[in-house]
Amino acid sequence: MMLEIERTAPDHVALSGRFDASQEAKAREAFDQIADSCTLDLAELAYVSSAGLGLLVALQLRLAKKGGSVTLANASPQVRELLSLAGLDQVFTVL
Amino acid sequence: MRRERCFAKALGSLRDVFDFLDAFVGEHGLDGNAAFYLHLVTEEVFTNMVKYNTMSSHDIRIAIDKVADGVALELTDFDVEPFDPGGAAEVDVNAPLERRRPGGLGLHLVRSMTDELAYDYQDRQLKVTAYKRFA
Repeated sequence: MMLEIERTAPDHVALSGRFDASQEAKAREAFDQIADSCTLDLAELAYVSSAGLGLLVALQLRLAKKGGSVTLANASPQVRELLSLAGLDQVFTVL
Repeated sequence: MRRERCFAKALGSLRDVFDFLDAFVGEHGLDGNAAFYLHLVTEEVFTNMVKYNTMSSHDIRIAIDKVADGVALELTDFDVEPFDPGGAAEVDVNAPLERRRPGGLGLHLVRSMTDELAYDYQDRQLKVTAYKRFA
């Protein structure tokens, strides 16, 4: 189950599949296309590791420099637990 | 029953690693939370070995065993220089966004999610063992 990243609206991006270290290049390329505040819908994201979390933080840092932000929505309980363990629920708005 | 297998030292091996873990999960009837944990801990340790122990291209051995009320994982990296991942500084998970830096988060997650974690370096082999209890 490969990582898929799809822009479903101008400010809405859906992530699905598995966001592991082997998907870093693909994710970085997709995230580089995001220029403004957006919501990342994680409803279909089955798995994420620190590699994926690191790219999410990098995206948040880049957008914050321009006054923007990333909102994370619909994460699974496991992904929410990881966000909490990493303290990332403090640097993202998590819906 | 203990299962073990060697994997090429490359991020491209992760898919095979996850398949190997899933076979174990299915064999022992473990649930989705256990599978998530096993994938995460194994990936974090495996990718650290791939990224930071670059002097050797020897395969990485992964062993997994169902023990008592949990699962024991063991990852072995061969022909490597002395390296103590356990000595790495803790990540500050309370740091504000602007002070967040790459690196160290994977080890933090492994430490947080594991009941017992140990590193052993001997004869140019680094062995990382992790034990997790499941209810």
